[in-house]
Amino acid sequence: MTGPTPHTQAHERSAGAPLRAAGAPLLSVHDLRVEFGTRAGIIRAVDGVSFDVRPGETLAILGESGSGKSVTSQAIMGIVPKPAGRVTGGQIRYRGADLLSRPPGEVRKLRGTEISMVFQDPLSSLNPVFRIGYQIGEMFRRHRGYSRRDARDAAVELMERVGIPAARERVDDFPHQFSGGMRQRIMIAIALALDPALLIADEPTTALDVTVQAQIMRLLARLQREEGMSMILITHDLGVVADVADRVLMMYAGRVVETGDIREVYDHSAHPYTNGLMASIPDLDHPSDRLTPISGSPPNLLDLPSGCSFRPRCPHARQLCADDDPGLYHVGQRPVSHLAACHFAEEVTADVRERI
Amino acid sequence: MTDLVSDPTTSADAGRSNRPPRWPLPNRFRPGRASTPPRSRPGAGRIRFASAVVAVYVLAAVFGPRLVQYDPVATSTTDRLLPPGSRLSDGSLAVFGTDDVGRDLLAQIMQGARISIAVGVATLVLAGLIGITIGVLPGYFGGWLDGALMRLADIQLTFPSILLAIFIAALLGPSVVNVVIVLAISNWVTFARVTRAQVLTTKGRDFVDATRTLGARTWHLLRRCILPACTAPILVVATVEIGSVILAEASLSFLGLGTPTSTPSWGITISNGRNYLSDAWWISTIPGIALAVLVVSFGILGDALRDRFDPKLKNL
Repeated sequence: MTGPTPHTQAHERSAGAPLRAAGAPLLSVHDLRVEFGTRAGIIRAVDGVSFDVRPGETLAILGESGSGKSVTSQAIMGIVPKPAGRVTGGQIRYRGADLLSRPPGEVRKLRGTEISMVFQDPLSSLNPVFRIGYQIGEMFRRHRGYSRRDARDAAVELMERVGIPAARERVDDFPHQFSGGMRQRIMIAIALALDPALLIADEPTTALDVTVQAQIMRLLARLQREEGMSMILITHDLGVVADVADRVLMMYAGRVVETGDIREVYDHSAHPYTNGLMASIPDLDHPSDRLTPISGSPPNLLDLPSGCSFRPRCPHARQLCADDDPGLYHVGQRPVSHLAACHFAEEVTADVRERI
Repeated sequence: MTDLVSDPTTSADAGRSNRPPRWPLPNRFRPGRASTPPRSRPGAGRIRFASAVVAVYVLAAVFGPRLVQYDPVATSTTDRLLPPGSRLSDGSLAVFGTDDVGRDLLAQIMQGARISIAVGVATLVLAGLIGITIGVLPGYFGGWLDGALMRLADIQLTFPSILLAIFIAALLGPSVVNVVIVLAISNWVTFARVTRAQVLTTKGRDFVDATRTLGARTWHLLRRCILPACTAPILVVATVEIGSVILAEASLSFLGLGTPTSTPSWGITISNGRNYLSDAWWISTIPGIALAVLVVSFGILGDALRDRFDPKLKNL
């Protein structure tokens, strides 16, 4: 690990916002724009997304398929699929340096050592032809210059830390000999091998079954607490993030529609989309009740409606919503960090309060 | 699988009950390690048979010429055109008979096997290097060079490869090295196309992106992620191609455009015996059979390897 680590104590949740707000953000994304060229036209997959990740905190990026949450993470890691996709604007500042304007070699040195990523599908994100001890150990050999034997020992140690039973016996197995949950643990081990300051987890539990999901989330939370690292957790599962995340960023059609501290956003959602997602969570007290879905379907990114993208599905929509695109702004009477992109955010929160 | 074959009425699920498997489990399937289910390996018999035949040829090519001396310019007019199984004037047995100037055919064929296999392997290495480079680099990076090289490959594929080989061989003149160059030029396309197809499917896989997010350089990605994924199809192509390369070498030599006449390749021996087909059939026939058996064996081996490694790769 290089660089200062002012965040080592920042994971204390109770210490809370003041301590975290004191430091400069670790990662600061400003007005990020990513476009994909398709036969049918240009898709703005990410359209002016801005957010900060402070040392030690967990930011959850929530949104449905096609909302741009994964593309945002790909832009940060520099793996936007080429040549179809390209970053057309904005800044991604890591410890103050803009990753988009720095030379590629310099940015590459940050990958794996400072910023790491865990992918959605552990079945396909490990190289099938190398033994996993070798794949984990490669991090130590390539970046740290460990000998083969030392790298192997380090790999075993890391496997034990991420909860792989009988690590010493299994270190020479191939990826296909592990279950999905175990493979995701291996991915996490590789990503955390060099103690990165920021971990991006792109739907880390989507491909796993429910019981394993909880284990993996607990593992991530534990490791984050131990390392004091920051985490960007990308998911479409509201439940997954509730216990883990500090702040949340709701995305819809490539834009941020609401952001704030997680309890604040969950309890006082100020955007009708967030509101609709909350309402669609099955009610455990009345399991026989019908679910309340959000009507309509996700927008076609090639043909977004005028004004607010969520307008056609929104129960609060009025003429103003079609005429004017609401930017993110502070929701009245709520904490300063709570922003929403809705002309009638105050009305929506008031509704939520009534419902509760 | 076995259940389904023996009792077609049993559904697949019912067949996988808790009964112990009826086939004997080899030791390599360690019990308790759930990861390796016993399954039939496709083409195991064919691979064993064809490999054995090829191994006999390789052994004959390596050790044969040491055991049976062969002098390409020696003549022994008393021993000319002896049928298989005859005694020579020096008392030795000519198992496959002698040719028109009294040279022992067995020695000649073993020397020819050496040439054929050496030319085949050298051609594969050269064509493979050219083809894999052209398949991997432009395939990975894309762009206009990729398009241009693939169109070149398309154009070359429309040409009968032996015609192209004859054309180039006529320009370069007969020598073993030239044969290798000629055949490599007419065979790189298959390697390039198969490699490129594999590169295109592999480079979109998650683990390549994952490796990149861990700070890997492009060169590292190519070496660790892309190339290992290409080995199986390349191996299959190489096995299928070596048969056709050996056949092409024999054809060129038969036409006098391959190895020089002082080098006893099979094509030259067959060509020499052509004038004596009516009274000394063995001179052309026995090297021809030797050639056919080797080429067919490589063909079977290639097919079997393909079935095992990549059943989707049907058109080569």
